[in-house]
Parts: sequence; structure tokens; C-alpha cells
Amino acid sequence: MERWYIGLRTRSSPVELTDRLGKLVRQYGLSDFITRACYERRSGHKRIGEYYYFMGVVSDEKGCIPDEKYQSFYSVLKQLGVHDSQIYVYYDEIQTMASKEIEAFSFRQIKMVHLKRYAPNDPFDFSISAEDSTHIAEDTKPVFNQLLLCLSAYGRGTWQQFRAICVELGIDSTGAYARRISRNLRSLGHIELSRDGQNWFAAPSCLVQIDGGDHQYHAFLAGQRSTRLLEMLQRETHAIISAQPYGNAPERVLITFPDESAALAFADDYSRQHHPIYSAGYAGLKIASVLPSLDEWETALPILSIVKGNYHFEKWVDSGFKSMPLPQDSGMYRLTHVSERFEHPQLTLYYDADTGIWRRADWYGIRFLALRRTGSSCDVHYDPVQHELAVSHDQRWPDLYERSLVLASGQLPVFRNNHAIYSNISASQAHLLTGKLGANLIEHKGT
Amino acid sequence: MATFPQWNEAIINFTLSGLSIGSRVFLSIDDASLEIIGLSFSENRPENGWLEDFKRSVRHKCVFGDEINLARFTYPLRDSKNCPRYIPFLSAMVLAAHNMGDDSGEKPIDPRAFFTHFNVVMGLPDQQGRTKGLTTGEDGKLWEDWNQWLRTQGFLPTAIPGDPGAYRYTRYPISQTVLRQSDRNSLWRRFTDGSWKKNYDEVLLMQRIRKDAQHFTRHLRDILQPDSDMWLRSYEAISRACYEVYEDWRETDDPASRMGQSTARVRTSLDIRLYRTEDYFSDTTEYRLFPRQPRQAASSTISVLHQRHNYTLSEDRPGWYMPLWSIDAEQLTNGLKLPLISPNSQLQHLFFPARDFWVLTLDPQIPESGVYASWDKGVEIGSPFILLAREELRTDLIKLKNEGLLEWESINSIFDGWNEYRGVTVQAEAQAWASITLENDALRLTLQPRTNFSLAFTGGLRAPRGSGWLVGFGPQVSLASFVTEAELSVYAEDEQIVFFDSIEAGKTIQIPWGSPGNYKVVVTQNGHSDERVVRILNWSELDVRPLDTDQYPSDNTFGIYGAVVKD
Repeated sequence: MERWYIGLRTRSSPVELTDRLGKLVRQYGLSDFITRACYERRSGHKRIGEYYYFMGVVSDEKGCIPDEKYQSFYSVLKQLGVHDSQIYVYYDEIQTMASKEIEAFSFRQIKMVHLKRYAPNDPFDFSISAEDSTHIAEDTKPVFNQLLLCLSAYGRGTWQQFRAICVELGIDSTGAYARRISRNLRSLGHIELSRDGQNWFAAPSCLVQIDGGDHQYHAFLAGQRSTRLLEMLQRETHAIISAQPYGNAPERVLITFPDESAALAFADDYSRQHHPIYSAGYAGLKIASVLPSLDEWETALPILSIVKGNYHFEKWVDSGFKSMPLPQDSGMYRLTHVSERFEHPQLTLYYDADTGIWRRADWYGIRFLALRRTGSSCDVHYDPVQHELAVSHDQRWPDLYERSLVLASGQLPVFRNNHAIYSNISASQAHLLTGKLGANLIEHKGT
Repeated sequence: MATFPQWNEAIINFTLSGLSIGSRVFLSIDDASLEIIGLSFSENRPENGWLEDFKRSVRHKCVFGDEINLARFTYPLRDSKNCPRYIPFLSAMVLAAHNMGDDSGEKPIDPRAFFTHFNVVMGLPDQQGRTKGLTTGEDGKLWEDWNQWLRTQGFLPTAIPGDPGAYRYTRYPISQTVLRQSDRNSLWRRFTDGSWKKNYDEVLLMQRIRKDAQHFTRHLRDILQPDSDMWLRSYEAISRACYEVYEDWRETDDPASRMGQSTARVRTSLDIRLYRTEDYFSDTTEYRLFPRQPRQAASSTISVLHQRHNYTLSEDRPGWYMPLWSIDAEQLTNGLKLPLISPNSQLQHLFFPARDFWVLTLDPQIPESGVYASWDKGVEIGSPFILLAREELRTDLIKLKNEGLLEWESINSIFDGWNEYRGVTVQAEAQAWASITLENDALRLTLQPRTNFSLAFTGGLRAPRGSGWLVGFGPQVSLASFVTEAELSVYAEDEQIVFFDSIEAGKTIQIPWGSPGNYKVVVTQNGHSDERVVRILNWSELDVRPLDTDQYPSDNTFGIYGAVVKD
């Protein structure tokens, strides 16, 4: 690239001309072509009259005005009331002509990186993100452990930050799969989301007791963790670290203590020295006990006021969304804002036609509610020998109810024959939860 | 009475409090800061003040007869936690430097006068030249060790020696005095005589001070020069020091009588800034009150009653409390002053000033959070920000846009009579701003760029509290600049160069960050350079940040927190 000057004859005030030129350069976006200007200082003398004003430009070679700048450049000259007389010179030549009496100005504009921003999305909406995790490469799976270490250290943050962390760790190239990651982390008792989905919170560290079929005390680690805690568990207890069924969540840390008092002593000792570790007992069963019935759960859901004219509506029918002018019946709806002026994420809500109320919950929760309210029966299969509970893939439970199932083992469900299979579920827990959700529990004895 | 090790620890804590990794550190100790540091001791203020207690402690440890004797702590220089053991001694040197210079501030500092002031601090008789017992270079070794220790902690040291000669080592403490007493006095005098308003933020204050530079001491004028090394490298320290004088002046009922006093600057009010979050689902933007934490109030219990709800202030991060309630148009327009309840501090009220506009930038520690707040850091070129401005400023802003000085993505009306400009970027360098006239000159002073280039670290996986990036996930580097190129060098802790290349403005480049440690990043353009530190951390350095149950969402969770069911 060459730096050269275009000489222009003018009688205008050099200061005023420079001001106007600077403004026009910025207006026409010519700051990478016209970079500076100078003029003969003697032009300040009133008797001089016409003088040379030099416009400093940058292009491939002297005298060459790039095609893409051509029109803008001559528009600027026209507005300044000057003509291109093809006086093209280098700075050295001006110096000779005008001695040192040159006033220089700069028209440079900022050059900066425009950072990519994530369009806002709904952390609870799974309709877009893929159900499986096959796009996650095998060797990236350990990063789920790093994800939990990172979230534990922050303690809490915004949904945007959660997505950014997932993207940086290479487990979510678009920010869409983060929703499923967060669901898995919630099911495992590692994090909580605020009900509006805008903020996440790392859950307290705790030992969750599970049945091991012997007299020892078996527990897995849920909630916040650190390298130090993991090292201490491996050093001072019998800890086994194993992958989740599809590797798309932090590994399960299963600890065996000789008895409950040893577990409590470890938790007390660690809490005194570092940060609190709670003993959560049989968390799956406890959560099943405190959760309300589906009716009460629905009543407790947050209500959103929706101006119907602002949205396009689609209703969930036969495993897909179908467009409709306005919501008529109760059910699960996807709402897309008509305005493209601002970034509005799609909303997936439950609409109660009797009351006209819109409620917000996790995606599976809304779908389950819609199914129940539209009369679909929900069959759940239980194997009391294997202690496994199978929920139809199309009827996954609201997140807190599913958490109760996952925390019975510390493992995410496996998927077989269009069912999510949860392990280590006791009969009492199965009865308790299906009763609250109004689902049919079908026992398969002896299978 | 505090012991030498207690003073040592307290001064280090005070000096580093609220600083992010990569900040430049000044051991800027004066009479007033010693009084504030003294508040951190769990004992009553001695009858003749903390300054005298400090002197007593240093003299007891470092003076033997009529001579300095550093043998009691120089071997070894570090304690069992590898912390420097000699900081009160260096602080005593800075205290002496702080007292140098005549009150008019017109005469240049005479380095020969240093030991005269130093002997006074140390309670020694006046002597010719260097104080007896302090061998040449002995103090220099301590300063170099302090610099070295700061680097290992991820900070940038600022203490520098003078040119070779008799006063080479006295330059170290002199370099640490951002403002001397005479500088403070000249600021105070100008604020009083010029009847300055009491609602400036730090950025606007600095612009006003620069505009009135001719009224200040020679030293202050020198460091306010935009091309001075001190200004380019230590803007934040200068700004912080000036703002502390301003806060002190603002709170004094009778400024004329208090000028020149250096007693503890005990704050009685908490400054409030703005904290902004967006709820994309309800399509609402929320502005909350964001109290700034004064240095001496870090351990105070403070609460405020608002609309019959009692809010207890808890720390969000050093220097800031957690955001409080949502603000409404009336509070934003007219400001707010509310009484505080604080049994163990002098704090009496919250103060939210009525301003014409607010500049909000991304959370510097977690920019990916999408949280904007008025952090008082000012506008960095190349970093989009949000401007919340009264409707009356619309004409000025349109003018700036038409002139190609400012650009924004959208305008929203959040509060009656106010507009929110999103994605605002500064487009032209300071030179282009100088000729423009606005109705609201404070707007121009606040928005015009302070530098011609700025280095940004983007991406990577940040560790909490601005402590660096995690190994394997270091940041990318980009340059925002008015000039196309600059030179970029990255050095490891052993000063080995790990990267050197030109960097094009507007482009992002990857740096081959290696193993955990501190990396010095230097960008040079047209003879000016800027220096940053990037700290790469091991995963094992992450620790858990436990939350109290009241920090979890307060909405109906049926008492479930992760796997824990609250009884």
C-alpha cells in the first residue's frame, strides 16, 4: 500500500475545510482511504487567496483510487466544493514545496473486533436441541468434569455465562445444547436454575445415600466439587469414579464408607477445614416426599402475562408444533414474537384455556402437564427385581420429579425402546411419584 | 498497638484490595491511608492515632541507636507463606516521599530532600546524605523483591529506580506517591474555589480535573499529560487517588477549614451505581442500585430499610456490594438519599446521585455474563457499552452520531424521560472530539477516548474473581485501534519471549499460552506501549464458592436445593 496526497486548490478556510472533510470521511466510511490531511500554513494569511490543500490517502499505488471508493470519494469532493486536478504527490514532494509549514490532521476511525453475541434463548426449551449427544466427540467428554469444577468455583451466574462456558469447553458449538447440559446437571443435583431461567446456581456439596445391598454406607457426591475434594475423597475413602451412561455429564463419584458415622465424620471434618458438605440422606426419596401433586405443582408455576397480538402461536400436537391463529384449547404452545426489532427468544408455555393463564416451566414439565390435561394416560413400567423404572420418551416428567429418580442412583437414565430407564428405584419411591403425577404404574413382576 | 507483622499484613491487604489480576500496584502509603488501615485491626485507635503507632512499630523494628538496621527481617525476606516481611519499612519510605515538595507544588521535587523527610519518619536526627546504617542498594533490594513478589501474584509492579547515581534508590519510594500532600491540597482548593458539583463519577471527575490542569501542582500537571508515561500506564491509580480526595471533600461540611488535614477519610455515605440485567422472556430490562464498597467498610454490618423491607448489604466482590432493589424513573431522575443502619461503622446513608447520563460497561470479571453496570472504569475503545441518558441529551447524541464520533445499535425507552442506547461504540479518536460543541459538555468529556489503542482479551475460560484463565483455555487477543497495526509481545515469567508478531487492529489472534503462570503481554504502537498480565491457572487452583441458602432463588422450590432438602 502506498501513502500519497491529492492536491486540491481552494479558497475555503483550511480549518473549516478540515472539519467538514473529517465529518464526511466518517459519514462515507472512507477512513481507511482518506487517512489525513494537511495544507500550506501560509493559507492562514488573508491575502494569499487560493492555496493547496492536501488530502492524504492510502491505496495500492499513487494515483489509483480504488473502485469501491470512487463514487464516495468524488461525492466528498463535490460537497467540499473542490476538484480533482490530478495533482498526486508524495509527502516528500509537499515538504519541498511547502517547507515545514504543514498542519496535519487525522481522520482515522476505530478498527475493532465485533464480538459474536448469542441470541437469547430459553434454557428450558428442548425442542430445538438434539436429544442425543452423538455430536459430542468422545475425547471431549472429560470436559463435563471441568464444567462442574468451573461452575462450582463461580457459585452462580447468568444463563448467558453458562452457555459461554459450554461453548468455550467445546461441548456446545452453537449454545443450543447447553439447555440439555443444564437439565442433566439439575437432574444430578449439581445446579439449580432460577424459575425464569436467567440465572444458574451451583448446588451445595453433599453426600447422597444410595442402597448398596450390604451393610456399608454408599453415597455419591452431588453439587459443588473441587479438585481438592475429589483428591481427598480418593485418598481418604474408597471412591470409584465412573462415567454417566452417555458420557454427557460429570462423572459419578461413588464413595463407600464403613458405616454412616464414618461418612458423617468425613463430611464434618471436611466442612470444618474447607467448605460445607451436607449429608443429604436418601435424597431421591426425600424429594419424592416433599414434591406436591401435579395439580399443586401446576398452581405453583409462575404466570406470564402474554399480549396475544404480539405473538405467533404453535400448539404441540402429535409430537410436533402446528401453527394456529390464536390459542383456543389448553395445551403446550410455542410463542414467537412478531417483532424482529429486538431479540425475543421463543417461549414454550402451558396455556390453561379455562382461566386464560399462561404458565412457565421446564419443557418436559409443560409437555407432561399438557398430556395429562388433555386426557392422555401416562403409563410407567416398574421392574421390582431390577429396581428399574421406565418412562416413555414422549412423557418425560417435570424436572424435579425426574431429579428424584436420578438421585436414587446418581446416574442419568439410559434410553431403550423409546423409554428412559431409571435405575435403583425402590417400589415405595415409584408408587409415591406416580401417585403424585397421576401416572399408571405397571409392575412387571418376575421379568 | 499493632505489631510490625500485623502492619505488614494489613498494608499488603490494603494495597491489593479490590485489584484484579494484571492491575498496576502502587504502595501509595500516606498519613490518611495508615489511619484507614488501622481500622482493620481489632482494637481501638491509639490515643495519638494509627500514624504514630505505625511509626513506633517501624522504628522499633528497624532503628538501632541512631542507625537503620534491617537485619531483623531481611534474612529471609519472605515469611513462611512466601510473603514479603518488610513492607512497613518500604511504606515508611513512601510516607517520607509523600511529604516531599512545597505546598505550592510549583518547585520540582528535590531528591536530596528525601532522607531529611525519611529521618523524621524514622525518628532519627537529621544527617548529611543517606541515613546511617542503610547501605547503598540495601533498600533497592527490598524494592526489587517487592516487585518480584507482585509479579508472581499476577500484578504489575510500578516501583522503579532512578538513573544511575546518588539518588538511584530514592526514586523507588518517590515513584510510589501518586499524589503528594501538596497535590491533594491543590485539588481540594480547586474543588472548593470552583464550587464543583458533588455528583461527579470518577470518569467525569478526571476529565474535569484534566480540563482545569493549569490550577494544579506541577507534579499533578505532569502526570495528567495524556502522553506522559504515568498517565498511560497508571491512569487507574491516578484516577482512584483523585477520586478519594474528591469523596473526602464532598463529605466535608466545611471544606475550607479541613484542607491539608490528613486524618482518616472516614466515609459517612455509600455511593450507589447502577446494575443492569435483562429478562429476555418478559422482555424487561431491570436497573438495580449497586452500592460501592468503601475500603474501610469491608467488614462492617450495614443494612437499609426501603419500603418496609430490610436489605442487608453483602459483598459481591471486593469494592462492590450485591445489587439492591430495582430503581424507578423517579429515583433515577431525582436521585436518592436513604439512611443506613450500621452499628459498627460511621456510615450513615446511601447516596444515589441524580445524573444526566450513566455509562454502563460489561462486568469486567465475567464479560460473557451479559451483565452491565457502571463500574466507574470509563469507556474502553473497542468495547461496546450502554448509555442511559435523559431525553434532553438526545440532540447531543444525534450530533455525535452524525459527526461519526459515536455509533449505537438501538435506542430503547426504559424509563419515562430516559433513553437507553445499546451497543454504543466510540468511533473516532480524541482529536476529532476536541472541536465539537455540545449542550452537555460532560457527555463529551466522558465519552471521548482516553487512549488511541486498547488490547482486549476475549474468549477462553475465565476463572472467577478476575483471577485469570484456566490452562488449555487461554484467551484470544485483539486490538482496537485507530492505527492499523501494532507489535505484540508475550513473555513468560522468566522473561522468555513466547510470542512476537504484529497484530492487526480489528482481528483476533491466538496466543500459544503454555503452562500455568503469569504472562506479560506488551503492545507497542507509535512509540507508546501498554502492558497487561494474563494469568493461566491450573484446574486445581479452583476452589468452591459455597452459597448461603438465602442466595439461591427465593421462588417456590419446595425446599429443594440440588440434592439437599431443607427441613
